[in-house]
Amino acid sequence: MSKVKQQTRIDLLVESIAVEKQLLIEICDDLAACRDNGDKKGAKAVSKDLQAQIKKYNGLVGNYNKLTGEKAPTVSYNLPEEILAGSNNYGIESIGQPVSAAVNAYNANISILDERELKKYLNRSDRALQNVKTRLATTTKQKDEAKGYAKVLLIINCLTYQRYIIERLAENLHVCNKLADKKRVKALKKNLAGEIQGYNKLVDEYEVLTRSRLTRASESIPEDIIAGKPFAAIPAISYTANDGTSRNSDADVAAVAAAAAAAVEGAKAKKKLSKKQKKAIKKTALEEKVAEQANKDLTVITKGYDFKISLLESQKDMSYYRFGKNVFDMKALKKAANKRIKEAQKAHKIALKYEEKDNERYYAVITNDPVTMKAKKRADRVKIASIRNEMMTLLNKRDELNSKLLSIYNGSEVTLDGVSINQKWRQTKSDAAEKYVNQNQKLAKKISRLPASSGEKQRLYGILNSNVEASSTLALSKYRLKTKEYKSSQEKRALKKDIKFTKKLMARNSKDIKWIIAKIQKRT
Amino acid sequence: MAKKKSASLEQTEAIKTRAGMAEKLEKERLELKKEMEKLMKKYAKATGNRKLGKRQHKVGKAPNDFQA
Repeated sequence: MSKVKQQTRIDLLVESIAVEKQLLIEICDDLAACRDNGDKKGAKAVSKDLQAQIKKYNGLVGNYNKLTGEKAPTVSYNLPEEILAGSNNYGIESIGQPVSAAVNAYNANISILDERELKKYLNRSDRALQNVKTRLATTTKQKDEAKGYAKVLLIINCLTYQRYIIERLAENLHVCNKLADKKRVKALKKNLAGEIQGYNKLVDEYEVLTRSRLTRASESIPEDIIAGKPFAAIPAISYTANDGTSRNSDADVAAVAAAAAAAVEGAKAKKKLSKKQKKAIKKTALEEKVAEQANKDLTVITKGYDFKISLLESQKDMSYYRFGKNVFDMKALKKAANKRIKEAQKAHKIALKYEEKDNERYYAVITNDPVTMKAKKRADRVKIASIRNEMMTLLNKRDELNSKLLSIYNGSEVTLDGVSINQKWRQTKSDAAEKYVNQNQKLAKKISRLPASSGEKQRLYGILNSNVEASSTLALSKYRLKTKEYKSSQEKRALKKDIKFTKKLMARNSKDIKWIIAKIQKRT
Repeated sequence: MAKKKSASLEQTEAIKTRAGMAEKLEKERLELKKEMEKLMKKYAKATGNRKLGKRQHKVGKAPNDFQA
């Protein structure tokens, strides 16, 4: 291989390594975030992605070392474990001097590759692009769900990925143009135009949120490349570009947030917004608020049903822990509970459907601006505006009620997840019931051997079963009191009352059992 | 033997309190819905969009209305 070609390969490798390194850092950040948030499931999935990315990165570094004879460090496969153990030090070092794509999008080095090598390069580039596209799709989804400054930060990330895609596609278009591959040139031209539009949309979104303007990507880039003109570089905007040795610190994130806030303030002070911009900002804020309220409303219904269903599920659980049970008894109990659960699930679905329909109508009143509405008379418009205001007040009141309801269904604190609480409840109850059943096996055997009528035995089993229920309720009340799940003193009092009552009930039941057994034994 | 109270989960004081509080709020929510439906009728009349004023069920009878 000629020295020139070798150098070209090294340069391309250095660039690929730089890109993969950036992705690696992003995934490390994700893993650290999962760790900080205690999201074990998320951490497991991200660890898997990280392993794959390390493999890819190390492969490239290996090739680089082979070509250059250097001993550039690879990344340890233990990195996921280290991050999960609390490390924020990724230890990913920079390799070579990557050519900044923003300076010259289509790499000048490509010009010395022959046709076969160019085709090989194109294939590799396509594969690398797929990675970034997946990453962009994930970030876009997160961005759409985020709010406030978190959204601004995610837009910046999206812009970085989108810019990278544009630059790679521009490079590929340049290559295909050189190869005179008309079919691919046509496809790439269309593709590139689409990506440029995507980038500019993100720029607009950023502008609406922060009121500061970024440079748009030129729409003539595809034509320019085909005509052999130089690439109009898109300026980089990124907070994620760190040296790879440590996590993107909260300070970095805060700095970007502060910059965005300053931009908002600066824009407020300096720039007068056009009417169209003002409208767009107002509309976005309103739509966001409407979506938030509507979601909360639907969540109330879901949580309400979840609360009901969890009680039924608990009933079903308890059917396993019974004394003197016969198969028919258990089956009937389970069947009845299952039927009620299914009914509740069905009712939940229907309720959600109807609530969505209602919300559509209510929020249409809010989102339709009477100013732009077609109305026969001016008086009509005034009336519509007044109805709209009243509706806004009512919907805000409902939103407040929904927050309170959510706190009840979730267990007093809005931030707690009702579903996981319900699962913990069920587990606590089942464990306590199982413990009681195991502890009283001997007593149950004794009852079964008593020379008593089946009615008497059933009565004894009934009392024992009452104790099973009471022991599980006692355990649950204690658990709830201990976990300080409730802030309301009313509920705390109720829990204490439950504990007192169940203890009393259990003591009385035990006494009754002993008395009945003694009576039967005396009789015989 | 004295008649015993059941200790099942639904009948505990805590659950009853919780359910009671939720019931009270759900009733308030239903009242708000009634007011909103009245407004919707006025709105439909003012805008001429009759569809917006129509609801398949009366308030309190629909599956999504809280029924204690």
